[in-house]
Amino acid sequence: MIIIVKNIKLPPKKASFVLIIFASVSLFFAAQKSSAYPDFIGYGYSSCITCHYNGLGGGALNDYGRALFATEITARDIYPSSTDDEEIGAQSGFFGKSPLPWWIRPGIKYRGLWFQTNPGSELRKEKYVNMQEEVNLNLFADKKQNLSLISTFSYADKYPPHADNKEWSWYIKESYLRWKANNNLWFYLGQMDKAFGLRNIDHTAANRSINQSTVLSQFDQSVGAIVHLTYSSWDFAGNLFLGNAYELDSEKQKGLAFTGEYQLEEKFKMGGSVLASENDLTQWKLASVTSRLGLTKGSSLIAELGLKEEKNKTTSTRLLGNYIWIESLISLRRGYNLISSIETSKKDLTNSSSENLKWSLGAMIFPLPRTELRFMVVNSKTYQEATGHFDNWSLQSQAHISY
Amino acid sequence: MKNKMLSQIVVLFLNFLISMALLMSMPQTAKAEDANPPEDSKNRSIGISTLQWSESLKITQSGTSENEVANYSGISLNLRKDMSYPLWGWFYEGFIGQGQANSGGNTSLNYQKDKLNFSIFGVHSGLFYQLSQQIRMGLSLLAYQRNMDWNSATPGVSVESISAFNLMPLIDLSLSISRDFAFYQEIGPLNSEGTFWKLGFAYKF
Repeated sequence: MIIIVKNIKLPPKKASFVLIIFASVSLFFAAQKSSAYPDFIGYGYSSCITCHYNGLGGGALNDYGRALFATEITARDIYPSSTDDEEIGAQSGFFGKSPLPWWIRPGIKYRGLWFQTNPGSELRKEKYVNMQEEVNLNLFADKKQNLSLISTFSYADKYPPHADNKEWSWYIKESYLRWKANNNLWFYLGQMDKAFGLRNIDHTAANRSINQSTVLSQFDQSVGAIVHLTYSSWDFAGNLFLGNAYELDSEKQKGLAFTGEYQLEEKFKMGGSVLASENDLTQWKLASVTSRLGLTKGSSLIAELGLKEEKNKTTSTRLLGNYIWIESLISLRRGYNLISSIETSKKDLTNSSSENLKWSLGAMIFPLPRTELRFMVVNSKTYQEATGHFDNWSLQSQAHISY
Repeated sequence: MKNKMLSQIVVLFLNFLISMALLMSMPQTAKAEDANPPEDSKNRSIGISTLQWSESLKITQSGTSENEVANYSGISLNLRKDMSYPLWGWFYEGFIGQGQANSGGNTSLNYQKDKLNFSIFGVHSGLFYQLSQQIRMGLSLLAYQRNMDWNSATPGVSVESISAFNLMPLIDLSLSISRDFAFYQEIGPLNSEGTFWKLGFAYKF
């Protein structure tokens, strides 16, 4: 049972009104929906299934994840010292301590980004982008949540992601059935993120790219099936995917992906992923090695190294490129972190092509419950034969609210 | 083209070797009977870093001079010694390296060069704060001398490097990823053309 609702199109004002009504209704039941990141292995949480409904990470947090987020990740400065973490965790539901009906866990997420390129120069430009405007609705057929329907509705404002999406309309970003066969075996069926690599919220060289430079761009959720085996020291998933429901048939990338991680030590995991897919025009093959290392509490170092091959089926041209992404999260105190993200990518290793390097340095702060703020300085370099490139700079700030 | 691909493969292979070395040098789970010396006594390290930065060139043709930007990318071999105290410490380091540089395409003058080989050596020293036994953050100064001749085969075009010697401040982040290995991230303002990056892994002994 997969619900695909396309193009609920409303004029902007009416859409806002509907959103407010829906949000108001959801607020009666809303669970806190925040985000946890693969970097949080620094807290000892090496398995995504502990906190997320999606066992491979990303998406809504379950009740346990919400409580952990409120009591370990988020600062507690607004609480008096007499309030202990157990009390804070109990309040992590949007309805406070009052429990939600067992069969529903909705949520709302907003993420906005302000950025300025070439700061301090005459070429300075600023822009504000609504990165995420989402409503999440999770329904459960039983109290143990063995059978669940996990859905994320996203609002496409000025920039609809697919040909079949319209401006100023809602669309289903993710919607899948999750079945827990037993504690170690999970099945997923529907539209969801592909099983590959580290699921990070940022746009990196490999993951959630902005301009669909890989088969893993931010809008490349795909209809398919995932089988996920998870044990205390390892997990493995296989994913058959058939393309996004909103894409034209000729655009749909269909293929297979496999991903796995093995825990070598507490707070140290290494893994790998492979992916092969194609549509009428393009064939993709990706392979990566991943590493996640927890340092002292709240601090971590994660990395992904990969190869990506793009083949144009019309011209038979192959581009073999690579990427490296390394991210350090340094916890200064509860709720306040430094983040350093370094990446390099090259589209074509075998022929002359530019190498792009980017270093983002800044702060990731969780000052209040359900709130994340980021302040980043981004320095980019390009290395290209027979051409000199000046450094590029941008300033970024991000606000993330989730209920 | 083959050399560039070979370099990429070498870098990936080096990463693989370092990862395999990590597997054999597990993160700290010290046991009471562990014979390994305490963390602080491993205050020397040898490492490899990637260096990325840009410098200005002065291109002169027929009496007209324009500034061009040159991009440098290289690898250095580093020898470092750390002095650690309970909350802070300092270090000094020497390095040598080599790499390739590209330039051109930003002036009205006809000058483009790529894959020019350079060598570099320098010293680096600074202070750090020990956020934890595994994490150090600090400030440092790095000085380098870069050796390379920018030349021009075009008659009447001369190329002058603004400065082959540079001194700059860096901010440093050092992460001990195991008892034996550390990952260093260092970045600082070099000049108006941009920043100097020094990123690498080191083996502690």
